[in-house]
Amino acid sequence: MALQINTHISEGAARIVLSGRFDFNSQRLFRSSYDTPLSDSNIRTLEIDLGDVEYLDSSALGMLLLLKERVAAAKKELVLANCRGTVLQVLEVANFNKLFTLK
Amino acid sequence: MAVGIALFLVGVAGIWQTGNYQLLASLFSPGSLLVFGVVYFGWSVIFYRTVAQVQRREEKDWQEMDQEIDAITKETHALFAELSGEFNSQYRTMQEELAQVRTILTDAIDKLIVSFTSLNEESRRQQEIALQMTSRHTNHDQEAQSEENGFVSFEGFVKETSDTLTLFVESTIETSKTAMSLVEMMDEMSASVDNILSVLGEIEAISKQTNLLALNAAIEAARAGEAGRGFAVVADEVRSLSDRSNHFSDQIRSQMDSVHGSVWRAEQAINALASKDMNFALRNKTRVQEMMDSIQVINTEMTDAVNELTGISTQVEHNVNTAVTSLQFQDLTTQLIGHIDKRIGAMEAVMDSIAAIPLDDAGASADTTIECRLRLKRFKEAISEAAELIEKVKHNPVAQAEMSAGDIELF
Repeated sequence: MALQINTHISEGAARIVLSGRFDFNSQRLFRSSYDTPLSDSNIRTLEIDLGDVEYLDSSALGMLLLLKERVAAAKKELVLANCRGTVLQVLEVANFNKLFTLK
Repeated sequence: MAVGIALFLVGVAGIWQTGNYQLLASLFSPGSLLVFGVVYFGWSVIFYRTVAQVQRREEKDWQEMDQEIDAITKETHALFAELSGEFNSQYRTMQEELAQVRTILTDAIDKLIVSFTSLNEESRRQQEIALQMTSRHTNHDQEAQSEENGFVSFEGFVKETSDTLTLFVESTIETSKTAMSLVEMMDEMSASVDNILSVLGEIEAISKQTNLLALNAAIEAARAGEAGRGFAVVADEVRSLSDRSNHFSDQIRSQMDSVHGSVWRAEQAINALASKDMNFALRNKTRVQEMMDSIQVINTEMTDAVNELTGISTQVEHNVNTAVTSLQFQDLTTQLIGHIDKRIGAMEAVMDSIAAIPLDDAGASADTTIECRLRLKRFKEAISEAAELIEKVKHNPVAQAEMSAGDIELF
């Protein structure tokens, strides 16, 4: 199932909830979902919720790395939330547990 | 004779007692005196003859005894000689057999010790080899070692593979990251192209408008006639410019289309580049873990095996040492054999001494009784001499104390 994104903003934190397949074709959608919160000065934390993601490939990992760079440049915080199952395994094998804050 | 005289006197006294002096007078008459004399003489003769007879018989008996004693001593001597000879030949055989025992023992023991020593050596060598083999595989500190002796342990190999994979995963993700940022650039390019195309649209609209205006101007110029001829020329020029503009616009559009196409193709290529399924990494990680677990099991088994082998090797060495020590009974037996030999020698000497005791005629005396007594004395002496010799053997240092194994030193 192609990626679907829901964004919830509250108390200076933007929660971006992903569901479905997170792959190459999700590129534009994902980019546009975080662009606005990233440039919003009231938002301090971006939380990417991966609880409903059924599949994750290297392009998704690449996109997450790009996001990390941009969040750091904007001096905000980035959290990956609800990582479980295969998603968690993939993140671990890519050493993302050392690079990101996992919740 | 004295008895006869005494009896006569008693007879006389008796008769005198009875007071028969006539009988007494007749007793001392010459006739009776003569009779008495004859009787007395006869009795003397008989008496001395009997004594001589008795003496002669005695003499004969002594001679007979002397001869018998002589015979006995000679037979005893012969018996001793025979006994000595027989025993000595038995002793000699015993000594030969003892020598054989010594030789057999020495040979066998030498061979056994050599055999046990080499057994020990071989067991030790076995242990070394086993340790060498297992140490290669149980050695955890392989990083430094493998460079030196070019030998990579199984464990080291698995770890190396795992590290290689980690690098590969990192590389894949980096590539994907770069690829995704390229995609973003492609998007920007696409957006720019779209912008250009929309600008181009504007230009084309303007150009179309210009064309219409020029057309209008040409119509107006025609209506104005000769006066409008100059204007008509200008209008035509404007139209041709507009056409040229359109032409360029078309070219730009087709270039943009071609850029669009290239960008699209690039995106497809980047899609292939960036989209790597991560399952291979997950599978490998699982396999590596399984393999490391197996290696752990193997290592444990190896360590157990090494320990067991060491235990066995120690046991073998211990047993061999016990055997070699036990073989040192050789000293004990050699000493015992030596003692037996000496005892036999002592017995031989005793036998020889007994056999050599002189039992023949030495200083024969005329008087057979003395001779006989001497012979008996010599015989008794000989026997006591022999008894002394036997007694000496009992107190011989060879037979001193009962030898027990503890008295003899073992190395």
